[in-house]
Amino acid sequence: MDRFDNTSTTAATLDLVDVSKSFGDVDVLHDVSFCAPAGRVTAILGPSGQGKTTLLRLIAGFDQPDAGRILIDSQVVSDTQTVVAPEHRGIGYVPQDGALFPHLSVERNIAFGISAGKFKRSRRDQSRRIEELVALVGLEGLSDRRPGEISGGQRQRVALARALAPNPRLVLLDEPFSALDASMRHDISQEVIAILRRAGTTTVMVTHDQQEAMSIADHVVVLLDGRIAQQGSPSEIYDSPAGADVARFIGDANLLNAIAHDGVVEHVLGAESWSGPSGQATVLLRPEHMVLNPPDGTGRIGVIEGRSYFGHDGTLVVRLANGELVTLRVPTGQLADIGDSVRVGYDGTTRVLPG
Amino acid sequence: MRQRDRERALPAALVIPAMLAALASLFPLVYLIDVAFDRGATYIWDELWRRRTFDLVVRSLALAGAVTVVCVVIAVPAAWLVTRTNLRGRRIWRVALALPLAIPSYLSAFAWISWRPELAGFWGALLVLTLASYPYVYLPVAAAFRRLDPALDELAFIHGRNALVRLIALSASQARSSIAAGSLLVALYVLSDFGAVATMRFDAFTWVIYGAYRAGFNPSRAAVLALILVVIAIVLVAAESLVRGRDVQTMTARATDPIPRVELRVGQWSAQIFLSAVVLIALAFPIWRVLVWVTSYGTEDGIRSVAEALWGSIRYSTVAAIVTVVVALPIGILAGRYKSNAASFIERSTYITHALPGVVIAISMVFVGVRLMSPIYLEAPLLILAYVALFLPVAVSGIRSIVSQIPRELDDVARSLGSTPMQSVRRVSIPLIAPGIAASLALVLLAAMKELPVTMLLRPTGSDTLATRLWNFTSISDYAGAGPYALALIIFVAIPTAIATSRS
Repeated sequence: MDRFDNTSTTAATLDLVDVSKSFGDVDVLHDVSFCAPAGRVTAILGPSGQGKTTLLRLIAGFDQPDAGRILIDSQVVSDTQTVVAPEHRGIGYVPQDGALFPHLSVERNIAFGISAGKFKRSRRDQSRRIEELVALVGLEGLSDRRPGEISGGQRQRVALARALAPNPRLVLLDEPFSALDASMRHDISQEVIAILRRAGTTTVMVTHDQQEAMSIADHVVVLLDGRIAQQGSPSEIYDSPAGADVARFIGDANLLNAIAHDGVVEHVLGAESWSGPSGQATVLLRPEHMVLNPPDGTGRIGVIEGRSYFGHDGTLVVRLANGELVTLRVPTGQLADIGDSVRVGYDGTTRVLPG
Repeated sequence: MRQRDRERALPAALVIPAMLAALASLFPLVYLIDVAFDRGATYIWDELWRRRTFDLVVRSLALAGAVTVVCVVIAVPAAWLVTRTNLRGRRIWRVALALPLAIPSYLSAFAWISWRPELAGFWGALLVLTLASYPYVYLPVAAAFRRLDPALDELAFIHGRNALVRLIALSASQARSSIAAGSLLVALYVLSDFGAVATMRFDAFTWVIYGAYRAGFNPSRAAVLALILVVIAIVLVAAESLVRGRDVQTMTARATDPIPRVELRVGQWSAQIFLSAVVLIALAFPIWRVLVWVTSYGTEDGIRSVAEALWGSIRYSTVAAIVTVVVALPIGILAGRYKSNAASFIERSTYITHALPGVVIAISMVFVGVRLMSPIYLEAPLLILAYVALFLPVAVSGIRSIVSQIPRELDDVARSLGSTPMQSVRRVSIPLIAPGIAASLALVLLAAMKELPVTMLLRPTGSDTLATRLWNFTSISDYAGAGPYALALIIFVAIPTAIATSRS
């Protein structure tokens, strides 16, 4: 069962093909297919409770899919005939709360995978590897502490070092930063991803936090209602969402009703050229592409109904004459008052969504 | 999470032994029914409708009801004082109030009757059983009070007059289901208790069943009465599991915030006197009586026979504890780890034996022994089997609670780090449940050393334990003889039990 070299890191490509899973009557995952490129960070992004953890557990081999195939470096690890046990997959797993072994010190936690079992190393190799990892994740001086005696961020880093110890070809992270305080979440997430990039493994993390996914990942897989809604680079997903649901989930979105006919799509603020079919359509306008009181005197009249101040900028919610609400991101100097009458335009950056 | 667990297949290595143990623990009950039918169904019918049977049910329920009421009256204010006020020395009181659980009921019954023989009967039984069982209300109610929203107390101050009574009533209304659950446990304890009613010569179920078996040797009557008692006990256990844990947890502040406490001013002294009285009567009095016997009569029996009885207690109880925990392990792991119908069925079936009073298990084991296993009747193995049947629920619930505290993810992580399922059990599960196993071992060991009716009826011929020796002397009112055994029970059983329970 020696499916890979366990002494040096070789990043693996992960492929899922039409993977489905249900628990009883509940369909959790439906025909999920995606590829996580070798050596890159892939984020599986979706709202809570829509099968993200289940997906990771299938990849790790803790549960088996009802249908479909999971391949690591083109070798099948799960399908209807084959089941490779978790301990033979060479996958590092970091569960949501870290799940450190409470009866073991920080050092013994990190050493767990290489001190016994399939990835056991010689005693000398062990201590060298532990030293390396302690330095990699910056835990010097904490080796003898128990998991209960260190902070949440430190626990997360111990869990990461423990997962990396046997040189896995793939590391899975389940909502790794959601238990951390908002104030430290950004710094620790950047730090952890930097460690993983340095280690050179393939990383798959699940998160419900779209900002986290966009800022960390090379490749984003959007999972909505147990189906893959879209996958691509962060900018592809933000700028060209596949549908209204993705657009709404990733960032703030103005979705305007529109009608397509004769090569154009008409909406309340203007019209775009369009080569798709005629009929009902939706036009996406990101708030940062909206313009308040365009200097050329164009734009639609509306009344301000909401106003939020963020310091670096702010947003206004404007009710247009036809009753549609739009959100504008504007510099703080332009934040007008609720009840003011304004004109609303846009800078031409739009995206027509089918349906 | 729950769905994922339910979906997991139950490992046969756990299910098969657990199933066998669960079935075996129901076996004595089946045999009891068989013996009840020895004289035919009409006999059972006649026995059920006899006046003396009716009187017995009324007497037993009256005792259980009276004890329960007095327990609530003592335990609810005590729990409130310890958890919700600035009572002085409340840390000590909190532990001291639970300690009477460690004193065997037959020992304190004998302490009282030797001091005032006229206590024999209903009032003596009421006194002793109240003192022995009020902690069953005190402990859950104190736990519920600790979770109450402190703002309630502040509200109650507005009402002014009779503030203390109102405050307790208000807290109690918030802890209704804990009080109800505790009360049902007290009633169950009273109906199951043998030592106190036997010493007080009060004709309650257990004493009459024992009499029917021993004096008349009328197994069918004993079995019929035992079955009536089992039905009542099962009703109590079922009711208890229905009401348990129903209290709304209204705590809004964080658990780490100090609970604002009601200032006792004049009440401080009344509270100290009340709690001192409870602890003195329940705890200090029996210990004082035992010391009086020992110091005034010396040891008539000689240190040697006390040591022999102690050795008997330890020997049987140790084996019983080990066997019980080994049998309880697969059941506790299944119940704590897997949320499936099969796992909860297996667990529930062991709880039926929890409803079986010791006397019932003892006489049904006697029937099994005489008819089916005569080679081991009045031999150690049958006694051990009876202990296992009696104490299995204690061990199962201890192991289940520790197993359910271990996150599943630990096992997953171990697997992903290259451990096989068995290596994961050895490297993760066993080290984590070891303290729970040790605690269960200790609890069963001490409970078996304290146990009276099963030991009395099933102990191997010619061997003795502390409990049986004490019983022999007390049944002939020989205080001088009883003293050293009572003292040994306090030192080797009651004190370790107190330490074990107050630490957990």
